Amino acid sequence: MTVQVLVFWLLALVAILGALGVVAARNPIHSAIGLVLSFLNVAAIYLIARAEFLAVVQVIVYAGAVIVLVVFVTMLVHPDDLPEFHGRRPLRIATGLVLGLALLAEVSAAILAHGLRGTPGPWTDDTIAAVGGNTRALGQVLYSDFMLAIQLTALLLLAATIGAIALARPEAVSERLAAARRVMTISLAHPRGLDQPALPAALPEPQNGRVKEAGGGRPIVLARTADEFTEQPAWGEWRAR
Amino acid sequence: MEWQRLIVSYIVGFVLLNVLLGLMAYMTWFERRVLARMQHRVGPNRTGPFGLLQPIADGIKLLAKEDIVPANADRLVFLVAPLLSFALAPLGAAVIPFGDTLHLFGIDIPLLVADINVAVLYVLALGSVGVYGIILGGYASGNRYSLLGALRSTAQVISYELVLGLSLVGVLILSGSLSLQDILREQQRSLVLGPLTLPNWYILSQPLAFALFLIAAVAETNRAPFDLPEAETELVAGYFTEYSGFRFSFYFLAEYINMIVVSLLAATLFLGGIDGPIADGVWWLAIKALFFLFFYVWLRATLPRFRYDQLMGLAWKVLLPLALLNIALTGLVRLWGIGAL
Amino acid sequence: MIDFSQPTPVILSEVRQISPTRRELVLNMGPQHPSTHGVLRVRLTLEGETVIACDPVIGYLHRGVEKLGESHRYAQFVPWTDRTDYVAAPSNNLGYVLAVEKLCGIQAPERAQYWRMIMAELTRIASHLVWLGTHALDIGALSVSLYTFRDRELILDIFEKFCGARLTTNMMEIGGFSREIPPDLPEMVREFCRYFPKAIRQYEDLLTENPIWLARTKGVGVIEPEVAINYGLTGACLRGSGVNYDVRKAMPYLLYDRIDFEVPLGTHGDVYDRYLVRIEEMRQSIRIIEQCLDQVPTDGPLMAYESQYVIPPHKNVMTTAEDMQRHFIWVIKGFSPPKGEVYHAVEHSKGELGYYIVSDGSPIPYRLRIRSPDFVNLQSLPYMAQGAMLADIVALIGTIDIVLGSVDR
Repeated sequence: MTVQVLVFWLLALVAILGALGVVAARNPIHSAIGLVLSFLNVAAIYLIARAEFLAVVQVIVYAGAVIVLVVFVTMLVHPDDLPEFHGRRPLRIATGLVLGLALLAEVSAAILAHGLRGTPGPWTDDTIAAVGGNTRALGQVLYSDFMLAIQLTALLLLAATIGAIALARPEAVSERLAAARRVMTISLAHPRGLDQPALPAALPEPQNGRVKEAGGGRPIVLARTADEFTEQPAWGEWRAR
Repeated sequence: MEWQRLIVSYIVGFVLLNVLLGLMAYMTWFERRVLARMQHRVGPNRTGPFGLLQPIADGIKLLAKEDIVPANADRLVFLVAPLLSFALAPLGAAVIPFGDTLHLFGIDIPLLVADINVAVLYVLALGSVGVYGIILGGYASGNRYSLLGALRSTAQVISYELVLGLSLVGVLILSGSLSLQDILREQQRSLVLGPLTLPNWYILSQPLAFALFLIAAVAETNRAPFDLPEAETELVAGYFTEYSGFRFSFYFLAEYINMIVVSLLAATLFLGGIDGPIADGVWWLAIKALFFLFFYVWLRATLPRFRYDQLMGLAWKVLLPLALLNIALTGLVRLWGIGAL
Repeated sequence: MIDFSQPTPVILSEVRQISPTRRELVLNMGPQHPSTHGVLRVRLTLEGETVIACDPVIGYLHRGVEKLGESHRYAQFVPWTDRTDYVAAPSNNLGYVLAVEKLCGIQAPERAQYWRMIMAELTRIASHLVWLGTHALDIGALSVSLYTFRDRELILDIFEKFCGARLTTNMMEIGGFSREIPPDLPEMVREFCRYFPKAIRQYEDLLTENPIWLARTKGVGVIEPEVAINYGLTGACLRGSGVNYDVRKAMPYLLYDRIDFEVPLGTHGDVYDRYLVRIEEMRQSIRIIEQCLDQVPTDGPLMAYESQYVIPPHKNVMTTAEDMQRHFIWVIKGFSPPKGEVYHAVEHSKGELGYYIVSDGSPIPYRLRIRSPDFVNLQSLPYMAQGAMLADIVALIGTIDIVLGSVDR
């Protein structure tokens, strides 16, 4: 028991140090690293509490997905565009202080009301063992008692995904590029300069040349003389197919 | 007794780690020889018989190289990132059963380091944390090629982690457990199909999941044709462009350990692991894993590389729906099997 | 038809038309980079992985070859042409000696012309093999490059047999060939022609129907035929867009008008079409070589004689006073072609390779200019690159088939 307690305090200490690092670091990537450290230690604490499923999910979801995305976005964004973290803004500091104190009060109230050990729920070691382990028990509870909550969460996440896709729709880079391409084509061959000649409706049949299926579902044209396909390139007709 | 079990576990883990590191060194030799044969070359053949001492020579060379930190690198992160990658890689092997319990000196020695009851999730979690070595290394190098490599890698690992996880759900539904030991035990039963009696390997009942797992595993280990994070013809070397000496080799070796671990996992999850037609044992696992390792090298010799958007499209538009379909089908079959439909 | 009497407005547009945003990332690719085929430098502006602007920077391998030509005697410049496009040296030699021969008004004997064609077509195959190998390697197909280099060795062996050198061959001489063809060379070439179609099938097995290869090349780097003409592209870059222009057909030189061969034309103008066109060109080259071997006389002169412009035969130099004197003057002073200017183009493996020579009647060219095909073709890179992905850039550089020695000269 003493070893467990010792390990717990060690993990808790690192978790808190990591959390402090999140706030203190000037570099947002360093903040993210601190957060990961904190999450991993919390996961280890779950393990001590014999909640191995929760621990692994904590690692997969928070350390493995959420923070990776945070780092991803941070790396994509230009450093100048990041918000100022450490400026002296009295309003922000005050808001943070109030919120922090509120959280502290809430947690204190909870501890004061129920004690450090909390109130034991219906699940004890024996009942968990009867079901067949922590993971199984958690699954049963989640998909029976909390079914509505699960469904609502799923719906919320779906809405968030759709919203994110709608918001992040690339502003038509391709359209801007298409405009640029048209200007770029310097036509010496056409007196009007930039106009692209319209392709003819039909091309003359290959005279001596032949069409060969070259693979990949692509035909190529084999020209035997230099004056085939000179009126119009071989291109248009096959493009249309 | 608790202590005894713990110590046995440590000893098994220590042996396993060393075996794994040796295997990884010879995996580089294996890959170079096989690749060379596929390309009408000879491969390393000068250092020792058949070039067998080549990995050692490489190791000495890399150790002796200068460890360069670029001027505009994020120094601490730069130094730690490859260690992170390397340290996390072999952990996955801890949950893979290498055989039944061994009786030695009156002690029961289970031939696996840790029988975790969430072993499958544990491996997935390791994979998702392992990406930090890549992303932090790429970020800390202060190089744009590294940054692009890291960005590609992040997107790739997140996407394919999802496919990997979902492809395993079918297996989990059939076995009803997250423990690799249980999954293995389920596969040791026999599957009776009319006149045929086959082993209950999940490759037979979950072929789609197996294919998805294989594709996702290749992508997860950043191997060809999904080696975009380190695509040498585009990004020079991707996230480890700026690394040199042994820190470079940490990334390199982590990749090879990951390959071995994923191969072992695939053999355990889908091919019955240590189960074989005659004389069950660790050699069957080795043969199956070797097949996957050969497959990796084969892919690298044959296929061109995907483009970034095609890679993401494949994951999200093809593999993910297929994985979901597989889950739905397996679930239905399972429900029908227990008479709930 | 193009009416050049009308004034044509040329709009100098900037390559970069898109207003800069802060999300852009400028990536400097090269001159030291694994897939820029030497020392090409490309300055890329990226938004995510999408290329917004692409700016090729060339000149890292500039050695002033054209200027060197203006300070060397005519025959001395042939080895310099090897060093422009060093993967297709005999074709460069050929373009230059044909230009000088046109200037001097001499013609090589028929037998020499056939052997020139054989060597030029072998060069085309060798160059296309280097292209295919590096192009596939850029896109990630590792093994193809080793297969192509394996087969290129056979061609280099033929070159070695023929002229003693493998890479910088200095093969063609003004007026023909001064040395006899090795007796077992025709059989060696025939052996290669028998073997090589199998090798092409091998490459095609690995690539042509490969879904990843198709995904990476189809619809990527499309050049419309009008655009290809406007950029002045030649070779497979032009024919991939379906424009029928091949110097061998349009302005036949050597004896190409006696040979039955076809010019492959692409139908979509993308990277995949240029790949198909080049593969087919290799097949056609084999066809040309086989016909040449059938038609070439087994003996007869290889060198134009009775002319002050060519080196006299070795035997005569040793036995007759006149030829010894001519040889002395040819070597020490060089020959003086008539005054005038000349342009001669050959169908090089990369496109139209032209040599433009101005002679003032002295033994040294007054002006020498090389129209190297890949220099011109490289212009189309920014056009193809806009809106492409970063990974496409390597495919696009590969599809143009550049050799920086030739681009920078």
